[in-house]
Amino acid sequence: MAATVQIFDRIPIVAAINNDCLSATGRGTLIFSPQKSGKSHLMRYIYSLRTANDAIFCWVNMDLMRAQAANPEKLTDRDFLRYMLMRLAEELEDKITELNPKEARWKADLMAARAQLNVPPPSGTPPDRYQQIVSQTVDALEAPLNMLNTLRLIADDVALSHEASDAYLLDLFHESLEQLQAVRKRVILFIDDFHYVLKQSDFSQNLKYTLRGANSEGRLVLLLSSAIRLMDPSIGRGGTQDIGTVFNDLKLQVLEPFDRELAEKFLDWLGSQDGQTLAADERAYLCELGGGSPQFIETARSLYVGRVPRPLTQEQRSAFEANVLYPALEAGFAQIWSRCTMEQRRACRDLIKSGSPSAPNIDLGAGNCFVACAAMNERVSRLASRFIREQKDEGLTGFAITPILNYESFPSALCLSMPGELEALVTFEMANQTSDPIGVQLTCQLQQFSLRAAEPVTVAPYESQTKEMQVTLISREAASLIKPDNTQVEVSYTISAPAAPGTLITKTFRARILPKDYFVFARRHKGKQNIVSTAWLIAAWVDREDKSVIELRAEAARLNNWSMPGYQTPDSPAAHQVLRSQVKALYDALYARKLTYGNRVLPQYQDTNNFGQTVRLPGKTIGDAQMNCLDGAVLFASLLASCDLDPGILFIPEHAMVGWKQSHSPGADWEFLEITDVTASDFDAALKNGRELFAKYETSVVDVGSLEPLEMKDVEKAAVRVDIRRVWAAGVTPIPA
Amino acid sequence: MSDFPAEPHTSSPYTGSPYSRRTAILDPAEFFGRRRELETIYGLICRKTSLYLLGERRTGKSSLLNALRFPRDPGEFPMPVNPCYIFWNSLYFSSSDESRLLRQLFSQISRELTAPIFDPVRESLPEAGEFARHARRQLIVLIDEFDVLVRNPAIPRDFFGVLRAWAEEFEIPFVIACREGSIEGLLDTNQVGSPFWNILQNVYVGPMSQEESMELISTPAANLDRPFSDEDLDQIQSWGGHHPFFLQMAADHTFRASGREEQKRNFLQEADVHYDYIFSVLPERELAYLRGNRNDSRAESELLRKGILIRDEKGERLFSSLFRDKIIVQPTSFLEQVKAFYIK
Repeated sequence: MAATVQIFDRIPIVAAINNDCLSATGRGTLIFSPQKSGKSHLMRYIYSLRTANDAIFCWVNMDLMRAQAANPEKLTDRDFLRYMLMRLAEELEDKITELNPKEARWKADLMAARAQLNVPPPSGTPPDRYQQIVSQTVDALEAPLNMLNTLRLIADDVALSHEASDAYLLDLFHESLEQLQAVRKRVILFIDDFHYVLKQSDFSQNLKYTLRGANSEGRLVLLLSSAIRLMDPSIGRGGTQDIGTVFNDLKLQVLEPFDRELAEKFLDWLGSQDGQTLAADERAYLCELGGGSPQFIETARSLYVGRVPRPLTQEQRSAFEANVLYPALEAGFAQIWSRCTMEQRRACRDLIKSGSPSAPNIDLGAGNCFVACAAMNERVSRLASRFIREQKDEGLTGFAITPILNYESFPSALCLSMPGELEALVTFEMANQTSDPIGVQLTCQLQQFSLRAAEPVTVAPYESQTKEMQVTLISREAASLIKPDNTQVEVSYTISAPAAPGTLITKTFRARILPKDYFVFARRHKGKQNIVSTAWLIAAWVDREDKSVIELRAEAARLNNWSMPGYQTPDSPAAHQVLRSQVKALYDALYARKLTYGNRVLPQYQDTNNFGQTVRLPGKTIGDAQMNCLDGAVLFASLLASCDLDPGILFIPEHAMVGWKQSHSPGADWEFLEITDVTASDFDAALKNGRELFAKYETSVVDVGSLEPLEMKDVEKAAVRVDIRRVWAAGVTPIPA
Repeated sequence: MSDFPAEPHTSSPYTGSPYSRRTAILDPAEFFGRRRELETIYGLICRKTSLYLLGERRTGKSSLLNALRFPRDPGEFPMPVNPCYIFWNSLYFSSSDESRLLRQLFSQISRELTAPIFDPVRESLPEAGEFARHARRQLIVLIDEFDVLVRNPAIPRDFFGVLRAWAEEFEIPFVIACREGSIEGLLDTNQVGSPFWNILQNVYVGPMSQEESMELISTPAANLDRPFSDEDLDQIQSWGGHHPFFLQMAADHTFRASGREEQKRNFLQEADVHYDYIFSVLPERELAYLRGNRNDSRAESELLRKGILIRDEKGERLFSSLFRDKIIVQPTSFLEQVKAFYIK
């Protein structure tokens, strides 16, 4: 067992962790502290105590795990499971070694107890009662032996698992925990800086779910530390891979920096350990230097008492700070600085300049470490101030970068069908007011649904630049979406300027991704505040390769003497007759399916910038045996296209019709039919009704055959005819079914 | 602060809080309320009807699933005869194949019924069902976090149809828990197979009643001879509403800390991210209702159903005064805080 680590105070939090986490009914706990308040030390202290007898303590050291991994840059589930199982086996071996000497006595006691089963009861004791007492004794004596055997079995299994498959390792992990639980043993898993594990490793959701599951069933007790909350959006929340909420059931224990009183007592405590006592003014001086951070205080004290003689005059102390202490603390300051966002850094700078942050109520995050100094001394520690002043201003005043999210609701259909035409997901506005060129590495991603887009840009001195970034959807994820899902847009950028290290800033925006059958008829442009038609998008619903469409086409061919030749040349009345008979056959085949009229247009989510509705894809219309005007128009257009005819869809106020060109010729006339009639009326009636309605709008209709932005003055009065084949030619592809 | 209850009269040294649990309840002594839901669920199980527990995150679905296996007094609820509960935690099977799932199922059945080991193949399901029937034991399958299982691409689509056939032939009720909205979309694509889903009856797990909330927060402290004062109870209810998760958290911090300000600060340190989460998943129209658009009765009823709003003799209010404070103190709200990042 490792030597016990010493710790000062922390009595309340240690007591709370003992009760909430390490007790027999304890559950997972997160020690949260954004500053250098000693959470790692606290973890090590608790680990060294090993207060719970029924627990197996396992410390997961990520650095060691990396050292043993096949690829240290990319830790996998296998690395984790192998490392974890090896640690478990080591702990079990220790336990077995500890228990081995007792085994012989346990066995002897058990044999003696079993022998009592065959002995007549003492006089006055009823035989049943006697048997019951002896049996209970036997059970009680069997328990430690069973436990010891279980520990050996698990240790042996793990020892043989070096070359095991990933699936076997996972099974072994589960079974080991299950077997340990059966003999009333829990595994307490210590992982320091768990937020890094979540952010940087390549562990699967499966592994994270496994940890959550074992934690919730009490087989495994997670004792984690983190500098950020695990539900923080920056860790990744939303979509199907909802990392942030996987660990939402941990008890939070907040570790605060020391206040002035505790800091002084801490110095006294350190003195009691090594006999190096401090005068009152020396304690005050060191508190001023170290602030509320145990680590900084300890470093400052250690270096201070190590000087012979101790620096007592102003001059000596200035030299001590400049030459000894500052170089020693600088790395720690830098670590805190790296955990601060741009806004937090700005607030820290304001704190130094004016004594208070410019934005009230700002959460300084890790920067609180500097504020802790301020709270104690009414100003930031000299050394922290010096550090902050020495940091190159990454552009907080000289360079500004603003990411603008263009879609709060992202229509997946738009991207699936026409990725190249999609408006940028994020627009970065950058302004460089410095005399240096600034390099920026931009990335953005719609979490879980898109690939990460990345682009380096350089902004010349005293210039501004705008960069728009699109993303490529992961077709499989987007195509499986049939209802809105919450996700996040993650935007990050690293700014590199001469003499300034690159700093990665990551921001997340909440966003919704809309399902693939959400049709956006028009969008309000956020910048211009006008309404732009995206009616061309309906062409993405028209799919001549859909299985149901192909089947219907075959049925239509049967009704039309097995002939669907498409357009005939030359264009003539006879050719029109051939065309009409094909369209009628398609209509009749659909009519025979006995579809009913039914609306399913209201989306589950509607935002104020999209004019849209849910439209069934052709296969779903057939599958549901139900349609409205637009569902029917899409389906019939697919049927027309499957016969090499040129379909069109006409949008008129609150209604849609389907039509076809009389020939392939660009200037050919259009014919429309009222497709909702297919639920009740014959082809002639549908054609008559379609012609009459089309005639009302024929002179005012706007043709859409490309993807050019079409501004709409009044979205509710527009008549728009979409030439499906021309829109396809412009690059729109059908949405995957 | 003037709207705070008075400071507690005594402050006791820390002796361990009985409200520290944030995971699902496994100990009968820690489980309170939900009598109506339990009665419904046991009733359905007795009628061999499968059911689906749905509700928002952290409303206690998993605890309720665990509670089905707690020992019960005779006559407390309608109980199945000779029950044999089989528990699947889907979190363990997010990428496992069918064989592993079945191995786990059969190993539990073998253990519970002292049955032989069945081959982990579909064909063994009737064999296991027959064995249980012969042993006169009522198999009941409990599945937690079902959405994780459904999203597992390694489980063939038709497997759920096989489960339905098994459930029907051997009259095995399934009790399934998953978050509302996490699975409905998948059903439309037939990944689960509507046949399986069609046999499930919904049981909604929403907020607790006022009486259950009081029982949850007052009993553990009273059992330790450290009962909460009326002011404490008011504070806890004012922070947690009727949400068991937030009530537990509010009771925890009220129990631990001695000063009101400290209690509030500690509570918010833990609750804040969960409040943010609630905000982030609220549909737009429900957010609009909370921001003042009171003409949407559907949004109102949804918010009441989820326990975001509470309606009682005092009228209608947000479930938590601190949740309300978030809106009032920061008129930007969560959503607008995010927007504030790019409106510059």
